[in-house]
Amino acid sequence: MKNTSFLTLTFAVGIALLGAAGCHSGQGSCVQGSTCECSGGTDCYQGCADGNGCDLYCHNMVHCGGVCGDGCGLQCHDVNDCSSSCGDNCQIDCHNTVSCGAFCGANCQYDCQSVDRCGVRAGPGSTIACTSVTTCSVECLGTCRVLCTDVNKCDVTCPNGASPISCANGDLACGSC
Amino acid sequence: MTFAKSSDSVSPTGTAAAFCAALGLGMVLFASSAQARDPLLIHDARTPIGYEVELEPHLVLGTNPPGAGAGSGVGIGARASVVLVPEGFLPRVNDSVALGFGLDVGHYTGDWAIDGYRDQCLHYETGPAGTRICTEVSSNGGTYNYVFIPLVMQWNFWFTQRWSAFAEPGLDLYFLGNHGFDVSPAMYVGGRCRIADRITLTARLGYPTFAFGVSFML
Repeated sequence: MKNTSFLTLTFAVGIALLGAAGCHSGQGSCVQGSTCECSGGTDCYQGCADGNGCDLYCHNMVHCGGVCGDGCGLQCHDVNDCSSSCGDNCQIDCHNTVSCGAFCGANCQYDCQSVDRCGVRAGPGSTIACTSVTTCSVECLGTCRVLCTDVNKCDVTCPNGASPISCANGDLACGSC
Repeated sequence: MTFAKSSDSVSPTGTAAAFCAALGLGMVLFASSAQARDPLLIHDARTPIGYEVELEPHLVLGTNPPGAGAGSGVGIGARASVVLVPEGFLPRVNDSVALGFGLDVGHYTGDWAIDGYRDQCLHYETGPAGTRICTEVSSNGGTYNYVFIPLVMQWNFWFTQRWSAFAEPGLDLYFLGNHGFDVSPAMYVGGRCRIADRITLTARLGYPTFAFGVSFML
């Protein structure tokens, strides 16, 4: 009887602790103003510990990702998939991968080159260039310009269901050219 | 070996206790040197082991946990081992077999990793063109709270009145926050040093955790 009570108590405590188990979130480990490079291995996801102003560089692995605030540079190449999540005024370069995906804020400069799928959701004032890409899909949340070169399928979505306009230099634009 | 209340109980000493705590598997080797005052029982296959359940609260250590976590961790837990085969598997060896199960809780920290750490993605969202975009990453390798539920076969070898060892193959069901439940193979080896009647210091090495505790033979 005493043994049973002890075991019951042990597992009751354990079940209660299940509720406390979990992963704690964070904001990454790269320091503002520095370049943090990651290569080799399988997965690397980097973040900017101070929020803004980091340069995150990832290459030659399977999965790469960067999360940063404003004024960041994110670059990745020679990976299977690369993801970028950034605030305003970011410069993102993704090339020689299977897929590149990004969320970025206003005034984003996004270059996607030699990739099967590029998918970008960008804030107002952004410029997106897709070069040698099978599918380039861009969702503009404000005014933007998209340049598709050697692209099989170039989809641009503008705010409020508006259609993008074709500019004289071949760009597609949301808003004016 | 029996844990019956008798006059042959071993009185605890500070030296013995510290010695036991520092040992894991090594205690098996020391058993033979202690033979003169602690006669060997390993060949007495029919010596009754004298308990039905072993209850063992313990401290837990671990590194490189299974699943999405990373780093190294510490925690607490408890193990219960119910004797199923008191006579063991081997005809001329003083062994026994128990079913062990328990509960361990460990807090792991990524930057305690013995081989460095990398941050991990904590949250993904679907982007245009079916891309998968990470929107939140861990910091300093992240921190992870694990709950382990081990289920093992405990094969015991009773060397002397004081010393015993065991091997524990089995499984560890574990729970990690948003990642939910998963299962990992588990393998432990360990030993016990008797410090009082029906009480031993117990060390367990293996994967996914190490444990150091006190066993109560009931």
